[in-house]
Amino acid sequence: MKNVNKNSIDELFKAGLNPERDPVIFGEHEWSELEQRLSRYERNKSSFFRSKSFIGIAALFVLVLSIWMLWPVMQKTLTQQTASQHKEQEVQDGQKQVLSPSLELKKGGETGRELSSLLVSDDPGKAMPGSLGSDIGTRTPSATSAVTDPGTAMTLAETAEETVHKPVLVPDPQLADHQLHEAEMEEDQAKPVPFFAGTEPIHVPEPVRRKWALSLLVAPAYNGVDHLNNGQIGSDIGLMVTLGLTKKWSLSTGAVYAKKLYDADYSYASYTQKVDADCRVLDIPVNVGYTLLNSGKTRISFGTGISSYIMLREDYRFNNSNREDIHLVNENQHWLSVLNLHANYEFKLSPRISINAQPYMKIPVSDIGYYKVRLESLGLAIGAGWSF
Amino acid sequence: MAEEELQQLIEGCKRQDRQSQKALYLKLYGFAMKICLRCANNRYEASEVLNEGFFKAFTNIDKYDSHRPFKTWLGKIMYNACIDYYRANIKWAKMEALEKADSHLNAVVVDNELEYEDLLAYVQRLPPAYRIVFNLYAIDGYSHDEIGQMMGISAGTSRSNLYKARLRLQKMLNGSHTINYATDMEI
Repeated sequence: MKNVNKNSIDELFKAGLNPERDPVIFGEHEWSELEQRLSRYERNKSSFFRSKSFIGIAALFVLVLSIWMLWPVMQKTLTQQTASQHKEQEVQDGQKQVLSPSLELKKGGETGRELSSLLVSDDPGKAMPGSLGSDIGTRTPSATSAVTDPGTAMTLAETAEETVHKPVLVPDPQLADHQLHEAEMEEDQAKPVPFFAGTEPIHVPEPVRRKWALSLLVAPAYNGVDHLNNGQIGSDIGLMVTLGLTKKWSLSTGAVYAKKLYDADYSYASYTQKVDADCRVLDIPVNVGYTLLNSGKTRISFGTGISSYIMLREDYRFNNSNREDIHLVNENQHWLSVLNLHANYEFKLSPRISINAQPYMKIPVSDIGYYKVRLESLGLAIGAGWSF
Repeated sequence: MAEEELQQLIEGCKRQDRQSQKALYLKLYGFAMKICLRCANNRYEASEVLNEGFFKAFTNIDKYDSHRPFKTWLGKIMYNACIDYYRANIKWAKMEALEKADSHLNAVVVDNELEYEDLLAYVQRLPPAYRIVFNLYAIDGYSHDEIGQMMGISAGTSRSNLYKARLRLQKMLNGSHTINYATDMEI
């Protein structure tokens, strides 16, 4: 027998808990469990890199598709800008050159019709039919095309005497496309036309209109692990902001509070246990949407994107086991770890207010939560949106 | 084990050679299991922690610095696996005032013939938060700052847990106190 104080307690246990012999005999089954786990890890790792490659290719495809879809709009805008610049140049040249007393018009053909549609008026607001006065400066068809704004299809209206100095532009939507074509085709042949000296701004190309929308979504969602096995119904609620990039494409983000319930087989070393999981997750998605159909009050779109999961709370309860429950708060964050796929049906109640139904699927590209499971979700979000 | 042989096995593990992994596992099983048994509640949980530790070691072996002792690196991984395993309990551990702490630790009389199994049973009856701190500090010589860093607690909490671990062990050694484990877990 001996006396033990606090230092001796440490020494007693330090000496006693480090025996020369191994305390436990090696069990082959333990190695087998580890070996299987290592094999699964190596397979998952390779499939993870494959999935990363797939996501990379998919992202590249979306990017190329986006550029392809946006390209005509960009080209048109550039053409408009070029025509506008050309027009300004002509205006400047027109100020320097001597005005011709006559106007040559092509007879027949498209250009003739364009010119015949030009309106001559004293009053900018009043359109006057008929041919141009003999004292108006000489024009060529190409000059007309250049002067007429291709984007908004403005035609020239001017009086016999005054229009030379004060051109007036009157919108004429019917000519827009044709005149744009004319501007492109005849750009090289266009020559400065000395028929007026413009002083007013002729045209400012209208930028692509951006439209914001705010929507509140509520969703029942089915959550499960590894192909939605042993899933349970949870629920999501979230606020999303959508920015319309073009008529077809949109970008959305927001925050969704998700209650994710699921069962999982927790395999660890020598035995497998069932665990009930109750996780509260803040889902931060960034999605790209493409509108397939926009007809009247109905709009159908689909989209994809990637989510970040912030694990706000994780509760794991082990069934048929003495193992203690696990309760974690703000322990795990999984940035850009979940692939989103969704479709969206939107019905407009008014120009600003709409309701929508959004079936969606969330597929993780990395392991989620404390027990690192492939937590998948399938849900149907119902919501209301407000455009501004 | 010769260091050269160990390094060869490690090189094999870096190539994900299963035979090398098994050989390393066998060589260091006893060493790792001693740590895990001290930190776990029982043999089964120790086995889980051990395999988790080896899994982390094998999947992160590229991060091992070959200029440092492998056993030290593996031991720290085992402790970290244990901390992860009992993290939920550790997180709820609270720091208590340590004033007059030493005064509560009176000399006790113990049997010289206490066996490894007896001491292990005493340690395993400690709550995880106390047990891991006691092991890290008293058995393996980590400082409170290091323990705090590893466990995600303050150095003060580490000291507090060590004190309470010693107090409980003292009572157990005296044989005058029956540990109510359920109550301990609420800490």
